[in-house]
Amino acid sequence: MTAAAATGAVPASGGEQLDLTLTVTAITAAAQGIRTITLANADGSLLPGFVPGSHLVVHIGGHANAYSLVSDGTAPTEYRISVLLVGNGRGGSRCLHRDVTTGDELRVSTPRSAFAPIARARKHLLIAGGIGITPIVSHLRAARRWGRETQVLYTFRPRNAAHLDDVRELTDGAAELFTCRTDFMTRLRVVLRSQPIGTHLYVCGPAGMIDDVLAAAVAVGWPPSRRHSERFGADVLDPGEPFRVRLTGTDRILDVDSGISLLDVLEQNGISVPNQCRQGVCGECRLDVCAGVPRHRDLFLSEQEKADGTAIMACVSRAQEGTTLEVSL
Amino acid sequence: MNTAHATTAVSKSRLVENFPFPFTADRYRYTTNVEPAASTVATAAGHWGGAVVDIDGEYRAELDERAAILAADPARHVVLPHMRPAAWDAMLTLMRALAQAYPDQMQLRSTGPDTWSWRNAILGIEQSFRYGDEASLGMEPLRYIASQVQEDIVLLDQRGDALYIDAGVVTFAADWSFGFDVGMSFLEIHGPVPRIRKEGIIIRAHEFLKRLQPHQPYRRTNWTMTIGRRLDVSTELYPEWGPDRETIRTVDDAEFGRAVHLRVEVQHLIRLADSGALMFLIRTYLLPLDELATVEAWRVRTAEVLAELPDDMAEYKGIGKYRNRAAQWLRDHGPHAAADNDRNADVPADQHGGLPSWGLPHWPPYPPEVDTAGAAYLVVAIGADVTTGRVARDWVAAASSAGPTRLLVLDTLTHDMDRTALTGALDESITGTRILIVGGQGEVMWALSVARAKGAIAAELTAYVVHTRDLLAYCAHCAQTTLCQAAPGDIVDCPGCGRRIEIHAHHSSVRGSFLACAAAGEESA
Repeated sequence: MTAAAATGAVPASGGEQLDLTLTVTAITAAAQGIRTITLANADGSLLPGFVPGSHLVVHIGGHANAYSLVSDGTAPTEYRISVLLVGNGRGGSRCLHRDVTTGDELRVSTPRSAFAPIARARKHLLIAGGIGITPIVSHLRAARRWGRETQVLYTFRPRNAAHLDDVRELTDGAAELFTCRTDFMTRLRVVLRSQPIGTHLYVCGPAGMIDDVLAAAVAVGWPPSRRHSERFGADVLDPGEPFRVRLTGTDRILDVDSGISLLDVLEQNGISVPNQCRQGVCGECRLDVCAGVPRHRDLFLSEQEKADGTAIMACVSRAQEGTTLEVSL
Repeated sequence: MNTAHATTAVSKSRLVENFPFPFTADRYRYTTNVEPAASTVATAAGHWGGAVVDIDGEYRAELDERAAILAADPARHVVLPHMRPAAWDAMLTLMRALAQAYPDQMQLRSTGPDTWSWRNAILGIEQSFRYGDEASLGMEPLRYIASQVQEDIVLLDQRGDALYIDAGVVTFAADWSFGFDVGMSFLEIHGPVPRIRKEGIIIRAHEFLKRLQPHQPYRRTNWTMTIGRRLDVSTELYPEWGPDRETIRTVDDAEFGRAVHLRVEVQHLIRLADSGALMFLIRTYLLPLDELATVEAWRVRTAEVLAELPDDMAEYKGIGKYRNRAAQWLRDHGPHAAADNDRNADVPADQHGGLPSWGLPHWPPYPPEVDTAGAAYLVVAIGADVTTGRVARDWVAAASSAGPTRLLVLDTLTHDMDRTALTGALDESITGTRILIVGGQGEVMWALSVARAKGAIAAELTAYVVHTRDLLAYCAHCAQTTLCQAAPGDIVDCPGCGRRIEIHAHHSSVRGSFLACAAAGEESA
C-alpha cells in the first residue's frame, strides 16, 4: 500500500457516467468457464470506493456488460470481477475470456450500486446460484467488516463453483453448499420459515433460479421490501437509440447519437437551453414538441403531459430510433 | 502549530462576497431545485459553491458554538446502531473533500491497509486512526468530523423504497427538532411543509435522491429569516428565540436592519461510496438586511420575493410577523427609495400566524382486512374499549383460516408487564408474520413504534384506532414522552419539566409520538 495522497475521489460533473481506463493486473481461473480479472490504475493509486453489491460496466469489442465486484470497496486500489463465459451471449464475455491478457487496458464505468445490503436488517439471508455468488461475496466482506449476522445458501454445478474458498472463509465454514437443485429448494423452504422478524433476503443467480427462490419466499409471507434480487444483464445503463432533431425556428437538423443527450447536442451546437439538474427531475430544460414522438425518461412531466407528447425534457428523454423530433427552438 | 484566524472582527465584505444569494427570480416558490455540485456560481457581489465543504472566517467561532451546544444537549448528536458504517464513511468522505478543497491546510494520507493519518493545520490536529475502530480515533467518527466542519451533517439510510434520517450532528437547525425527527422518513419529515405534496415536488425530490450514485454530488439551497445572528434556532430552544419574532415588530429601523437576517442553507446531497448511505451537508449563512442592502440587485429582488410570498409559505417559514416590514425596509434603504415603491407587488400588512395542519397520521375509517399472504399472525388488542374487543375477534377469526394466529390482550403500555409481553411476542415471531394492532390512538402508535424497533416494516403492520382522544406527546425541551388525553393544537403541562407545551401537528411513526414545545407566551426557564 503506497502512502499516496488519498484524494481518490473522481471529480464530479453531474449526471454523466464517468469512465475509467484501468490496467489488467491479474487473471485467474476461478472455475470451469469462469475467469477472475483484477483491474487497477496504472500507477496503483486509489480508485473510487463502492457500495457492496455494486457492478462495473466493462466496454469491450463494442459491447457493454455489467459484472459484480467481488473485492473490498473501502478505499480500494483494485477492482476484481469474475466473468462467466456465456456461449450464446453477445460476445462481451467471449472477448474477456479470449482476448484479454495481463497488461491490457480496459475502459470501465465507475461502479454503480444497485444491490446494496440493508443496513438495518437484523439478519441477512444470502442465496446464490452459480455466478450469482459474486455480489454475495461482496456482501459477505462488508458483513465481516461490520459484524453483521448472515446465513448463506449457495447452489452450483460441481465444476462451476467460483469463490468457494472466499465463501467458506467469510462464513467460518457455516455456508451451506448444494450441487443438487432439489436438495437446495427443500432446505430453502425450511430456512425461509425460520428467520427472525427483521431479516432480509438477497438472491442472485440465473433468472429461473431467482424466480423459484422468490416464489418460495412469497409463499411463506415475505413482503416485497424484504426481498432483494439482482438479475444479471438487466442493469446496464441504456445509452438510447440514435435519432434526429429539427429545430423549427431555424430549420436546422441535428443528429443525436446513442450515448449523448439531446441537451448535450444542442449545447455542443451553440444553442443554450435553461437547465439545472440534468437528470430529469427539475423541469428547467423543457422543450415544446411540434412533431415526432418523444420517448420520455424523465421524472418531471405528468402522465397526461407524457401521453400528450407536446413536451420533452431535453436532458434525459429521446425519440424512437431513426425518427426525427421537431422542437420549437 | 496553531494558525488562529481572527474571526471576532468578521470581515463584512467577506460575508457579502461569498454569500450564496438564493433568489433567481422576483418571486419564490418551492421547486425541485437540485443541480450538480462543486461548480462555482458568480453572484452580484462575488462567488460561492466551488466545493462541497466551505470554511470561511467564521470557522473557529461556529465550531466553538457547536461544541457548546453539544455539551449542553447531547441529543443533537445521534448515530443509530446500524449507521455505524455510514458514520465512518461520512468522516472519511469529508476528510477527502476538505483535503481536496484546502490542500495546504488539510491532508489525508493512507498509511497501510485500513489505516490513515489526518492533518488539520487550522485547528492544529494530527491524528492517526484505523477505519472502523473507534478506540483508535478516540471519539465517535461523526462527532469527530463534525467538530472540524461548519456544516450540519445528516445521514439517511435507504431501505424499502424510502429514506430514513438515522444519524447526524445537527446543532444549527432552523426551526425543527433533529432529536425528535431522528428515525423518521424523508416524506414524513416534510409532511408539514405547505404545497409541496400536492405539487409532487417532494415525491420528485425523493425519487431523485434514491437514484443518486456515488462520486456525483448534487446541491440545492433553502432560505428563511432569523432575528439576530443566531445559528441555533432549533425547536428545543424555542422559548429563547421565539419571542423575538414578536418583539422585532417594535424596534426602530436602524435596529431592524441590523437584527433581521436573511438565512440561507446550502445543502449538499452525496451518496457515500462505501456504506451506500446518503449524506446531507447543511451549511448555514446569515446576512443582516443592512448588509444585504449594500448589493443593489439583492436588495431589490429580496424585497420583491418577501412582498409576494404567499401567506402559507411565510407562516411555515416563521416570518409571517415581520416579512412585510422587511420588504418595506429594503425598499426604503436603497439609493433611490421612492422609485422602488412603484414596483410590482404591493406590501400588505403583516399577518398573525396559526398552526399549519399537515403532518397528522392517516387512520383507516374502518378496520382493514387481514392480509392472507402471511405465514403467521399476531393480533394485539389494547384497552377495554368494546370496539377494540370486537375488531380483535374479527381479525382473529379471519387470520386463523390463513395461518397460525396468536392473540395478545393488553391493558395499557404504560404498564411494564404489558410492554414486556409485547416485546416477548415480537421476539418469538418469524419473518412472514403479519402484526395487527387495535386500540386508542396513543396506545396503537406506541405499539407500532415498538414493533418497528423490532424490525417490522409497513407491509407487515396493520392498525386500527377506536378513538383519537389521546396521544403520546414528546416535549422538545426535556425529551420526556407522556401519554396525554389531548389533540394537536392543545396545550398541556409537561410532567418532566413543568412547562406548558403546545402539541404540534407533526408526528414521528418511529417514536409513536407528537412533537410538543413551549406554548407562545411561555417564559423561558
